Formats: sequence, structure tokens, C-alpha cells
Amino acid sequence: MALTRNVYQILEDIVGPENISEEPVILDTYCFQWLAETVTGSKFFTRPEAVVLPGSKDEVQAIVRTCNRYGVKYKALSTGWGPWNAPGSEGVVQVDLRRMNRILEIDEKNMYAVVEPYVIFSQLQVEAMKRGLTCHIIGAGANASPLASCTSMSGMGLSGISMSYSARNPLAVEWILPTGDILRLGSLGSGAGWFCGDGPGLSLRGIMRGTHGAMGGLGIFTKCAVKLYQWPGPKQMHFEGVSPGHVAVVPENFKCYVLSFPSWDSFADAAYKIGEAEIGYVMGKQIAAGIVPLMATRSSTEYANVRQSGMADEVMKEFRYSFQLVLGANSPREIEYQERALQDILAETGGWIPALTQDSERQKATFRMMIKVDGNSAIFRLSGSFGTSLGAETSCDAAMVHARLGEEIKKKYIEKGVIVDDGAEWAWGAEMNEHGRFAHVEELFMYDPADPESAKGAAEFIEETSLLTAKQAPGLAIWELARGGLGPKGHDIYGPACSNYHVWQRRIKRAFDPNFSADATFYIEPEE
Amino acid sequence: MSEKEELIAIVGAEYVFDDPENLKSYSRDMSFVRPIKPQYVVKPRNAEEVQGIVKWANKSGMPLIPVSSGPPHFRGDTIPTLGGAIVDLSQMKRIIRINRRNRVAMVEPGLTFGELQPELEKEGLMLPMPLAPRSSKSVIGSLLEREPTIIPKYQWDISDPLLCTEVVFGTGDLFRTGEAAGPGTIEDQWRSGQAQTNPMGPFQVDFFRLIQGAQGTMGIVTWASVRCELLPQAHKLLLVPSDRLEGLIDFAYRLLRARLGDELLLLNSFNLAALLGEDADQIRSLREGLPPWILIFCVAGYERLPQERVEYQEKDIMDIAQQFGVEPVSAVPGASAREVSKALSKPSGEPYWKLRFKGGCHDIFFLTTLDRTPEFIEAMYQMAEATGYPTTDIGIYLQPQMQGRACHCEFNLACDLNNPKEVDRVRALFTSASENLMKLGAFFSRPYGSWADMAYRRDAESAIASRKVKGIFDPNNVMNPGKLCF
Amino acid sequence: MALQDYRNDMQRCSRCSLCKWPPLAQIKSWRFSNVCPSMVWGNFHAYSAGGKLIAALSLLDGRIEYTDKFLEIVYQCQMGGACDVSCKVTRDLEPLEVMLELRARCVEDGQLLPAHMVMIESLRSDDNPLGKPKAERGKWAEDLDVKDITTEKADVLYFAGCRYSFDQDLWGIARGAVTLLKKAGVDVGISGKEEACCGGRAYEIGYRGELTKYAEHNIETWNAAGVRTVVTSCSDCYGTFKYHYPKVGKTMNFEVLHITEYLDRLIKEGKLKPTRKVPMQVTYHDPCHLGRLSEAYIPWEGVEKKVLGQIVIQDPPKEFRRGTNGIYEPPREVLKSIPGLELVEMERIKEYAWCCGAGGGVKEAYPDFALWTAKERIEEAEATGAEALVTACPWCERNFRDALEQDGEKMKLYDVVELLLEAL
Repeated sequence: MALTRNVYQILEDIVGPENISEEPVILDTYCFQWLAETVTGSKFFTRPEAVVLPGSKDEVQAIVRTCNRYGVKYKALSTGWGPWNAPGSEGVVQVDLRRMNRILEIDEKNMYAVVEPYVIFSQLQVEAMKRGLTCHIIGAGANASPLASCTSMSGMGLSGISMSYSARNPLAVEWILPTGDILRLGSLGSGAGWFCGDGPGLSLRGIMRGTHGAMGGLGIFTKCAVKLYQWPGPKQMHFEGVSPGHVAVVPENFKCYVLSFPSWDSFADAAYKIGEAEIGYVMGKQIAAGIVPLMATRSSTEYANVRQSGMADEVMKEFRYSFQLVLGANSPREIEYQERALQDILAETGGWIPALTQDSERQKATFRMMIKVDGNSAIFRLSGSFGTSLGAETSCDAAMVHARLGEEIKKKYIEKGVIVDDGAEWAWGAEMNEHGRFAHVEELFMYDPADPESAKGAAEFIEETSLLTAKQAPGLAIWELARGGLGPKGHDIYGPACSNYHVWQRRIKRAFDPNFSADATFYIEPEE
Repeated sequence: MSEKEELIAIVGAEYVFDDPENLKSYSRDMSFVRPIKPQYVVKPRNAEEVQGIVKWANKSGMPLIPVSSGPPHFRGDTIPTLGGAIVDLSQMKRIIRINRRNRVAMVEPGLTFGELQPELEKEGLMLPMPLAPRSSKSVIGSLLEREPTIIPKYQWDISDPLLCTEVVFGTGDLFRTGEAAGPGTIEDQWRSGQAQTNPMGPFQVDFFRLIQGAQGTMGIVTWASVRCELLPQAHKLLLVPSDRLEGLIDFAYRLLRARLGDELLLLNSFNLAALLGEDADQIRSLREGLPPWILIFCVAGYERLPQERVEYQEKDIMDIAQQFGVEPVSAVPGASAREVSKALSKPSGEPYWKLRFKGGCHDIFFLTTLDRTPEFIEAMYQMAEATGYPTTDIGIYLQPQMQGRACHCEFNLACDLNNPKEVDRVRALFTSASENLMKLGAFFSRPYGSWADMAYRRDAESAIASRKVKGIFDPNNVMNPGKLCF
Repeated sequence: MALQDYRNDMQRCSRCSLCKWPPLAQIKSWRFSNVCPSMVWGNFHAYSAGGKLIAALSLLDGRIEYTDKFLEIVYQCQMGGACDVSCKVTRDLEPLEVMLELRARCVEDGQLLPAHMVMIESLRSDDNPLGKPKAERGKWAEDLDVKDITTEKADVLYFAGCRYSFDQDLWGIARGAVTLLKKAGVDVGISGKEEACCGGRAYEIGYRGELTKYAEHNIETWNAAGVRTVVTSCSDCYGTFKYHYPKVGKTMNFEVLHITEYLDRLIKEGKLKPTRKVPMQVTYHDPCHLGRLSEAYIPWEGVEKKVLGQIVIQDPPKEFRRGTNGIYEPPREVLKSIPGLELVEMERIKEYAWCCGAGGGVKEAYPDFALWTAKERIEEAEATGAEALVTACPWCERNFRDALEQDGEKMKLYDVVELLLEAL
């Protein structure tokens, strides 16, 4: 349903003519998405009716009010990486928050920063590091948005062991509700500052998000106070070498390891012990048997040769159950303690530090990857795209079940030739959030979006794994994937197995968005 | 059937009370909130009975006021503002499960800290506690109220240590929050290694946050999983005295930032005296000798290299203390580390420590940031002087929260309940101080009694949104009506 | 290759937006954390490299038609290639190639920008895109005692390029370069008014035929002249010789050097001795075409194959140009050899430098955008505390000059050559 000229004019008056467009070429750059081909069979979802670029919360509010008034849907995005950003149907105005890109404040003493939607993790991290602080960075990469992650998305990342998961990192938030009213969470609403996102009374953070956010379905977030964490390293990190092989100098009082174990059981035992010893700074499984040859080759072709020749098979066996660990300490005494504790843990669990990873250049490379989180999009390199599955936030032991299940199911698709043969084992995560409180494991896979058969295989794999977690414990799959895999009925499939949460969630949607103006495709859609 | 008969049909005759004595005891508490008698007191023993009661309330229109802790209550939240039935959960005292591997316990609402800690200890665990809670304080009650705990590094989110819950919403529906929601029963989940340690969700709503802080207006929790920590095997408490609070604040920030130390809190001389003294005379005499301000912190070692941990942390902290010109010691005049450690490690003895000075106590507390506390303290002193309340009798407790990102600031106003003039003076101070502190930027995140109106007037949008939530989870307003903004 | 040959690349874009930022590890502040001028100026995702990949796919699939906005998206871009560098840190895609193909396709389909048509007309009539008469081409070298290779043999050809030839404000730099070469005893000559455009800009704006014409002509001419080395002070020309010229399939019997490369060599061989102090704190701007875009052409023709299920490999294997092998050290070495000169680096340097704003036909078609881009860079230079901004390309020089003049800024501007001259 195209925008009426009247509505278009109002939106244009709000943001200015240079900040609104309904040019097809521009619209297409918003409905084109990663993973789109697994849902629609093409690279494109439905075109938005227009794209607007507001410059302030007042403009955002005016846009939302206009949409409510005239029965138009809207969906906000910042960097916009992933299908949850695109319009889910006809008649959606895309609200691109690109122009709202400032770091408004860094409170060093009380360890938080107030950011706008288009600030990316890299920017926040470097500014924080100047003050001896840093931030949790999600696995997607430091090119994602902390505000989006904290208010609207998921938030798993390997810094979770000491910096938690994005849902746990917002403090106060400025939120344009679906109706256009402005809600300021916590201390902000009481005019007391940004330090707390909960209260008065019950916490409306509970409406904002759960394990996952509303992904555009509950209005627009314009400012967020994000927790910062101690960074006992230099104000500016030093890099050596030449891209893409550049490496980070490991500062004093930091250590960087890859640790390997003989089984999932001892892997889990070690993860638990590291968690409760409170010694990890960044930790998690960002390595897999099939990925190890990538460390030693510079192109897909070289990688493929090494794999196909069997040259890497022995090496790969050593990395079957591995995770990376960065220790970061505030003093020499502390790092010494942490290392001792780690040695004891390795001895107790039969773990070891693979020789291949002991050279200092390798450690510098790992350190860069773990702290900057700047290389994770390499997962798209080999075949053009990747997808993931499972990934419930739960206990480490239960996450191991996901690791085993994921591998089993993947073998079928590898045999069909529709996804990359990565050795079948590519669990990612086990990041022991908050020193071991909850973790997740996703099963990654790689496919070619330019190949319809491969895209179809990817879709089937996501669907199969999403259905699996609805039928049996342990835990719920990552929602944004499950929604892609199961379609609009996703919540209706999961709900009955989970206290009928979907009934309540629909009521929340109706109460907070009576006009159904915020695109709810990745939140919850009305019952038929 | 009469109302009473209907209730008896749900919980059994021995668990329904309407005698005057019982009704009177639930009608009032130690706060300034006006006493109102309930019509009944009901004591369910399991979730099914709770559900039955709530469904009954929806039919009958009878308000329900959930109570988990024993008396004395202090906040006014358990007084039946519009009458109704007290749902006293003290019969539900089971420890359902303790799981060492995942450092979690699952408990029922009637369980107190004093009952839980020894059981946790057997498994090598402990639960971070508030500061010397009263012996009748329910664990779940405390967690649902977002009471601050004394180990800031273990409070990653202000909701900690609360994890998952089983709750009966105001509609009478049973629900499990967090990963406890499913799939599978709790037993199924245990079989696959889950331990209800992820409080989030399910999926896109943090249902538990809608119940926590709600003062029982959304539903009744029938069990909760709570986040435990390792029981220290080595533990050393140190005191840092100072004439000026400012001298301790930067030092505290430094420790918090590096996550050094476990317990960390600041008390003024009055409050430390009140914690350690057994009666008014002792408190007075201790107060004379104590330094005006004391920062208390502990270093701990757990199962792995405990002594080594204590040693390196202590040395590092001493280095830092030198930089900040403060001196951690194991005793100050009137208080030794051993005594203070004892006071922090378990619930308060009888009488409850806040009542020992004058028999009554009114607390003003709110959230702010540690660096702003001197400002609020100065304001409080001025207002006390203006009302003639002796500033030396004000107890001050500063509790860094969320690993140092917020600070619970608490003023304890001892009050002789038998002295009407004093009661009036304290009431006047309580009211004017609350209002003025709020205007200065104090965040009354837990709006009890008269604070509710003040807080929601200030944040009308939150009131509107909260009412929408109420309309979903308790559309007939049976759950503790008259509290918060409902 | 044609636009449709890149369809797989378009589909494999993940819309990650890495093309908008420097390689993430190289971000040092919020203020200087962008790398794509088009995105900062235009804001809509379409203005990014990723956006242009999508636009190309939309065009190929018939989802869109040519419009003014489409052309703006395609052409409001200096083609500086920072996006390409950032993408290629983790991906094996060719964003810049797709953008070049897109422009060629626009031109093929008659979708021409008036400002660019003017440039091409000038090229066709006077062998330069600046609208200047060919007869005046040699004026920059008037009274400069230097061989004319159309009449005399010389070992080394100094190629001035169109910008140096016709921009009088900059003649001193070109003359200075020749002077330095001669001082070092190099047997250098120039083509004077017989010199013709390198053709690079034309290629960049989609007129491939022009590049082919000039490449063939120049290579033939210089082969015939028997020069062993062609050296230029213009980074644009340099990049064109290294990357585009090999595409036309003619053997180049000469080495191509940028003046900074040559000067670095001469200093190291002791043939130039900077001894006079030049006490100044300077910062150096890496021109796109001397830096990331100057990596030599790597011919590849082959097919895509799938192995191990869905791993995409090229057969034969393809080596990707990732921008890290550009000419970064030689200009810095020259500066460091100058006594008293202190070099401080900006935040965005080498393969992730911010563009000066002039290239890709932007100076001509979108002058405000060009100047704004330059001002961003000048602000970054000022933030280092340096008193002077140094560069090694006349297009950068011209655009920075115009920007400094417009704002009345105090920052000094030099070419590497000028500073070296002062040190001798």
C-alpha cells in the first residue's frame, strides 16, 4: 500500500526533503538482506514505502505519531545487518537512524556511556579505552550497534564471561513507544540520570526485551546508557603487521590462549571451573576443527586444498573441543594468580594448550580477534554466507547438548552437499556469561546465497533445528533465526511448550501498540 | 458457600484465619502507612492452592496481599490498602533443589535467609545477603523487592540474585519465567542439564522483571531459582576509617572497578554502632569511639587457591589504599573485623538491629551514584536540623550496586514509638526529606507508601505503561490494589 | 568482465556495512571513524559500496530503472576504494570492481552526467579532461632546462599529467620534481605538449574506451621512445599505469615509478642529500591512487568452482588486491630523511586513509561534496597538531587548496617534493 502524498509530505516536513526517499533504488538497499534468500527465495524482502532519516528523538516521535495517525507501519534500524531489519510486509516506512550516531556521554566513575543508535561497538570501545574502560561486544562483530543490541536484539559475545550479555547491559533508555509517547526507563524517567534502567516499582525493561528484543516491533529506541567495564590495558591498543594478518600486541598483565580438551564433558568441566574461579576476561569457543586450516592459509582455494588433501586431519582432531581464553588482570600479582588457577584447571580436566597456538604471533592474532571482534565476518568468506542455529541461553551442560545435536543434524546437510563440509563440528559460544552463570552454543554452518539449492538447504536446516528445540528441552533457539525458519507461526509453535508465553506477549503488543504500527514481523504477529 | 467456606475449600480450615488478633497483626507495620485490617489471612501450602486463591479472588473481587516474610514489616506494602485477604506464604518453605555445579538454588517463598544459608553451606555455596536482614525476612521477598546485597561484584544486574520464578499471575494463570518456562517440565530441564540459571525470557519479554519490584501487584511467586556463589574458604574483612566520606568514595570506586574484594559497603558511625551494639547505651557509647565513616570490605578465596587469592587481593588493595591515602585496618576503636564479619554473615539477631536504639525506625532509601552521596547526606543533615532531629542519630548506609554503577543510599531514622512528639517530628522529617531528596535527583526506585505517589507524579509515563502491564497480568486488580500506581 | 559477471558478488554481500568504516581495529576515535565520504554525505545505505552492490543487482534483475537518483548514487563517489579495502579484510568480494562496472554500464546505456560529458569532450578534442587547449600543455616546463623526448632520447620520462600540466598554481611542484631528478643526475625528459592524458579518470567515470585509447597510445609511444622508466608526480596517473594499463594487453617495456618512490631510491643511493633543516611538524595524506589503488593489476581469467560442498574457489586461483601493497613507505621515508622535519600520523592512513575528495569525477560533478570531503581530511590533519599537511598528488593538492581557501584555514599545504627541495 503506497504512502499517500499527504503522509509523505508530512514525513518530509518532519525530516527535510534530503532525509526522505521513495526512490526504488534506495528502497531496495533496505529490503535486500543477508538470509533473505532462505525465506523469500531472493535477496529481497518487501520494499519499504519510504525511508526516512530522522536526526533527533523529536523527529522520531513525530514520525511515529504520524504513522499511528494514518495507519502506516514503520520499522527502525541502525546498521541494519540481518533480515529482522527489513520490512516484514507491505506498507512499512523504514526509519534509518543513521544520523543519530553520537556518543553523548561517558561516565567514567560510574562506568557507563550514553549512546545513540548508530554508534557502533568499535567507536564506543576506542573512546572507552582512552578512559581505561571497554564494552561487551557481540559475536556478530564490532560493526554492530550497542544500542540496538542492548534494546532490541540478542547479545551473545565472548566478552560475556566478564561483561555479560547485551540484555544485561542497558541501564536507562529513552524509548519512543509504538504510539509515539516517550518512555524513559528507570532513573532517567525520574530525572535522576542514566545509572539505572529499572523502576520505579516493576521494571519496564521487562517489556522492552527478554532474552531477545522486539526487533523493531515495540517502537524506537533513541538513547541508551550502556555499561562499560574495566580495561586494564593501554589507552590505545597497538597493532603490528599488515591487514588482514594484522595482530594486536598483548599488553602486560594479559594472556591469550587456545585451550583444547579431550571431550565435550571435560570442555564443560573446564568452562565451569574457569567461571567460578572468576579468572576469564574474554572466553569462548570461536574455533572449530574445520576452521583451524583457515589459520594457516590465505584463501579459500588454499584452505580447500589443505582440507581435501587430508593434510589437516590430524591437526583438526586436536581442536575438536577447544575454546579461546583471554586473561586480563589489574596487576602482576593478579595475572600470576589467574595463570596458576588456569594451570590447575587444565591439569584437573585433561586440557592442554595446543603447540600450534603457542607461538606469540598466533597469540597476538587471537588477542586481536578476541578483543576487537573485528574479524568475525570472515565467516562469510568461504561460501558467501553463513547461518546459525540452536543457541539457547542456558547452563553450560545443556549448551553441550546443543553442540552434540547440532553436529549430528549438520552431517545430513553436508552429505546432501548443500552446505560447506566444515567437518560437521562448528559449535560457537560457550561463553560462560557472568563468570559461568549461563552460556549458549550455536551450531554454525556456511552456505552460498547465490545458489538456490544451497539457500534452500540452509532454510531447511534452520527450520529443522528450530523445530527441534520447540519439541524438547534444552532451551529455546535464538529467536531471530527461529522466526526465519518457522515463519509467522513461530511463537505459536513454541508458546504451548513454554508456559504459553505467546498469549501474554500478544497482549503486551496489543496494549503497547494498539494501532499495530510498529512492524511486528520479528516480534509477535496478531493471531489469525 | 460463604467466602470463608470457599477459602477453606481451597486451603483447608486450619489455614484460614479471621480472628481479630490475627487480622490486627497484619493490619499494621512499622511504617507511617495507615493501618487497615484484612478480612482474612490465608496460608496456602503449594502452587495449586495459590492458584485456587487467585482464581477465587477474581470471581469474588476480594483483594489479595501476598506476604512472604514474617513481622515486623517496614514498608507498608503488606498492609491491605483496600482490605482483602492476606496470602501468607510462610508455610511454603521448601528448598526444592540446590545445584552446586550451576551455583543455584530453587526455593519457596516462606524460606528465610537463616534457613537457607546453612543448607547452602553444606554444598559449598552461599547466597549474597542484604545487610543483616531481620531473622523473619524471606529470601524471595527480599529478592522480589530488589533489596541491595552487600557484595556488589556479584550483582551484574540490579535484578540479581533473582533468576527464574514460578508465578501465579493476577489472572490465576500459572507461569514460569526465564528459561524455566520451557520447553519441558522443570524435571525434564534438569535431566538435560538445565538449572534455571537464565532469568531472561522466555524469548522477548523479561516476565520476571514485571513481577520484581511490583510489591505483589502482578502475581504471587511460588518458587524462585536464586543465584548462589561459592562459599569462601578464606575470608578477611578490613575496615577503612575516615573523617570524611569523600576520602573513601574514590577508593571504593577503584576497588569496584577492578572487582577487588567481595563485600563492600560504607556505614557511618551510628549505623556501625547500631549493628554491633546490643542496646541503646552500647550503641551510644560505640558511636562515640567510632570514626565518622567506615568503609567495610572483604577479600575472599573460594575453593581454588583460596589463601593465594586473599593474599594477592589484599596486597593489591593495600597498594591502592596507599595511593588514595587511606588505611585498611583490622580494628577501629569499638569495632573489630571479627565482630563486623559476624554481623555481616548472618541475619540480625533479636531485636532487629535497627530497632535497638529507640524501638522504632523509619528508613529513607533511594538509588543514586556513589559520587553524589555526599550531596544527599548534606541535604539530609540540613533537613534534620530544620526539624530538630539530631543528625548524630541518623544512620547512614551506602551500598554500591551493580558492580559500582549505582548506589543504594539509606538514611535510618530511629524513632521512639511511645513518644508522640518524636513520632510527629520523624514523620515530618520523613515526608519533607523524601520530597526534597527526590527533587535533588534521588531515584526512589522502590516506591513504598507515600513515595509511590511522589515517584509516579514525577514519572507519569512509567505510571501509564505500568498500568498497561497491570491490565494484562491483573485486569481485575485483585493483587494488592492501592500500591505503586494501581 | 561485465556487470553481470559480478552477480554472485552482489548476492554474497551480507549488508554488514564494514565498507563504511576503516578496518575496525584501525579505528582510533569516534570523530575519525568513517572511511566512506559518500555515506557520511548521503546517509542512505545506497551510498555505500554495499548499497551500490545492491543497486547493481536491482538493475540487473530489472527491479529498477535509471533515474537521476540512481545516477547520483553511482557517481557521488570518489571511487577511492577504502570500502574495497575494508570489505576485503574478511571477504573475497570485489566491491570497487562492481562499482567501476556499474559506471561502465551507465555510460554504455547512455546514462551520462553532463559534467562528465564535458570532461570527455575535452579529452577527445584536447587530450585532457580539464577543458584546456592542448597547445598549452607544455607551458609548465617553460624555461625548464629538460629534454624533450619527442626529439631527444632520455632514460627516464617524467610524466606531468593533466592536472600538473594545466594548473598553474601547481607548476612549481612539477618543475621541482624535474629539478630534483636532474640534481640527482637522472637522464630525464618530458613530452611537453605532446603529452596526452593517462586516461585514468575517464575509466573511473565509465568511459573505458578512452582509457584503452590512451593506454595503447602511451605505451606504444614510450616503448618506441625507449625510456627505461616512466616517473610521475601524479598519483592518479601512477595508479592508472599500474592497475589499468596492463589490462589493455600491451607489454610495457619500462618501469613505472611514482616520484616519491624514485626520490626515496635516490636518497638511499646517496644521489640526493637532504642536509638543510626544515623544522616543521607535518602530517602525510596517502593519496588513494598512490596507496590502496596502486597495487599492480593481477590478471585472472577463470571460473568459479565449488568444493567441499559449497566452498567457492576460483579456478585458476585468484589473488585479490587488498590495498595493503600500495606505496606507503617511500613518501614517508623521504619525509623522514629531511632534517628537522617531524612526521605525525593521522588516524586514517595507508590503505584506510580518508580520500581527499577529488577523484572519481566528483570534483567536476559534485564540487560541494568534493570540498566537504577535503575539509574532513583537513580537520583530521589539524587534530594531529601538525602545522602542515603534505601530500603527493596534484588532485589532492588542488582540492585541499580550494578547501583551505574557502574556509580561510591556516594549515599549510605541501607536496613531498617541495619539502625535499627545501632540504637540499
